[in-house]
Amino acid sequence: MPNDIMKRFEAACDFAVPVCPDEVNKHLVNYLARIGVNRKVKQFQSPWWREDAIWKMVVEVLGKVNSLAARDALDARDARAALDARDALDARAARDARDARDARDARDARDARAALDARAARAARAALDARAARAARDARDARDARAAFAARDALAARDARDARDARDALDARDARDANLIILKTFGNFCCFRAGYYWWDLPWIASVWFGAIENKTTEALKWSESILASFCAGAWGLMWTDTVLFWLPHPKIHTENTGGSSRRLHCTNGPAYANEVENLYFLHGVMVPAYAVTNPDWITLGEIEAENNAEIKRALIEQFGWVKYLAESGAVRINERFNDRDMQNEELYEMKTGNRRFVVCDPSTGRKYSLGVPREVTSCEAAQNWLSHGLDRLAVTRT
Amino acid sequence: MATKVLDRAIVSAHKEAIVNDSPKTHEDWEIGMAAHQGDLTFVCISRPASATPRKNLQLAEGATQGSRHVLESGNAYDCDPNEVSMAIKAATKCDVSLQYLGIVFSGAGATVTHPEHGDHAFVPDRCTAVVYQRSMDAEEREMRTQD
Repeated sequence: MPNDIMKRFEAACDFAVPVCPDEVNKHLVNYLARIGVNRKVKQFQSPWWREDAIWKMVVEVLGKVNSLAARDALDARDARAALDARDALDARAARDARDARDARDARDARDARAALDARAARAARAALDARAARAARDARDARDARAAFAARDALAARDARDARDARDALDARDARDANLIILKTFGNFCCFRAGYYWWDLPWIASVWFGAIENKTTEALKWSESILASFCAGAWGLMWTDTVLFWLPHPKIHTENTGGSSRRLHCTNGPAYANEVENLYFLHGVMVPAYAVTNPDWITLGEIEAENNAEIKRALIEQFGWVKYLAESGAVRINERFNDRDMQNEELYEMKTGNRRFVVCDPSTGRKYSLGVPREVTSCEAAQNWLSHGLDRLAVTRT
Repeated sequence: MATKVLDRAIVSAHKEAIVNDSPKTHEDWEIGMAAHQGDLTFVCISRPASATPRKNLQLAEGATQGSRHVLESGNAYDCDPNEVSMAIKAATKCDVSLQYLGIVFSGAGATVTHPEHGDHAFVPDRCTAVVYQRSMDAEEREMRTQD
C-alpha cells in the first residue's frame, strides 16, 4: 500500500487538508460514473431548505413518517418562507442580545439560531444519550464527528418531542414556531439519515484500503474516487433524487484528557460545526447551544429537572457554582473567618452528597467554589486537603 | 513563628471584598515553611541533587484569565520529581503526588510575580519547590486546580 496515500488519508481524517471544491467535484463525478448513477454533483450550501432537491427529499421522508408533528410542520402554508423568516428574526434577536451583552453571546447567526431553537424547545431539559456522549468523548476527528452525530440524533429527537409536547400549551404563533423548529430539526436529521455507509466519506473511503488488500478490482474503482474526494476536503454526502450534495469537513474543537485521548469541548462556540448545523459540547458532554453561547439563559429549574448527571454538572458549571449553591438549597455545614488569609470560608454539602468549599480569593476578591472529598467536615480540613497538608505550614497567602 | 512576613494587605471594611495583592518578602524562609500564591504553594526544601537549570521561568499557566506565575529573578531548576516529593516529605511530613509538583527555584532575589496575586520574594540561600493545589471535580475526581 502506498505510504503517501495512507498519510493523506490520515491527514484527511484529522481534517487537516484544504478543501478543494473543483477536485472534489471532479472525483465525485468519476465516482457516479463508475457506479452508473446519474446525478449532478454540487457542494452543499446552507440552509438546506433553500435547495429544491433537499426540500423535496425532506418532504418525501416526512411523508413516510407516521408523525403527527411532522405533518403539522408541513401544514405551514409556505414552510420554507416561514423558516427563512424565523431565521431572520432569530438572527436579529441574537444580534440584539449580543449588542446588549458581551462577547460570551452568540458569535454568529448560526450559533444564535441554534441557541434560540434549543431554548425554544427547552432542549436543556431533554436528557441526552449518555452512551453517545461518552463515545464522542473518546473519538478522534472523523470519529468525533460521527459520535457527535449519534448524540445529535438523540438531542434532535428529544427537541422535536419537547417542542411537540410544548406546542399544545402555546398560542397559535408560538405553535407555528414550534412546528418550524420541528421541521428544521427533522430536516437536519434527514440530511444525514441512514447509516454511515450512506454519507460518511471517511468511513466509505476506508473501503479502498480493503480493496487493495483483497485485490477487489470493482470496489477499487469506485472507492478510489471516494478516497480522492475525501482527501480533497469532502467529508459528507447528501443523496437526493437529482443531486449528490457534498459537505466540506466540519470544524472540531477538542480538549486533551491525558495521553492521546481527547474529547469534544469548546467554551465559546460549537465544538462540532458542519454546514448543516452546530453542536455544542463541554468537556465531552453535549449541551444545548445556549448553555455555551448564552449561559445566562440557564435556569435553576432546568438544572434541577435534568436527570443526566453529566449534563447537570455541565449546566451548573455554566450557571456558576456559587450562584447554584446559593439558589439550590445546598446545606452549609461549616464556616469560619480565616485570620491568616483574611477571608471568609464556607463548606457546603450538595443534595448529591458532594462537598464544595467556597472561598473568596484575598487578592482578586472573586468567589471560588472548589470540590473537596466527602470526608472533609471543616473549612480548616478543606484548606489542608486542597494544599496536600501544606496549609498548616503556610505563613501567608496572596 | 520564625518568619517575618512584611504583610501590607489591604483589608476592606467588607470582608467579601478583601484586596490582598501586596508583595510578600520572606526574610526568614526556613526548610519546612510554606506560602500560597493563588493556586500555587511554595515550600522551602533542601536542594535536590538532581537539579538542572531550566530556561522557562513560567511556573504555571493560567487557564482562564491568562494569569501567570513567573519567576522574575533567581534560578529555576528541573528536578527528579521523586526526589522533590521526598524532600517535601522530609521537610513537612506531607505527601504530595508527583502530578502536583512544579519546578524548584533558588538564588539571589528570587521573586515570583503574578499580575493579580501579590509577588513573593525569597532570601537567596534557600531552595523552594512549587506545589500545585488540587480539588475534586463534580464527578469527584481529583484534579489540579487552575485559576
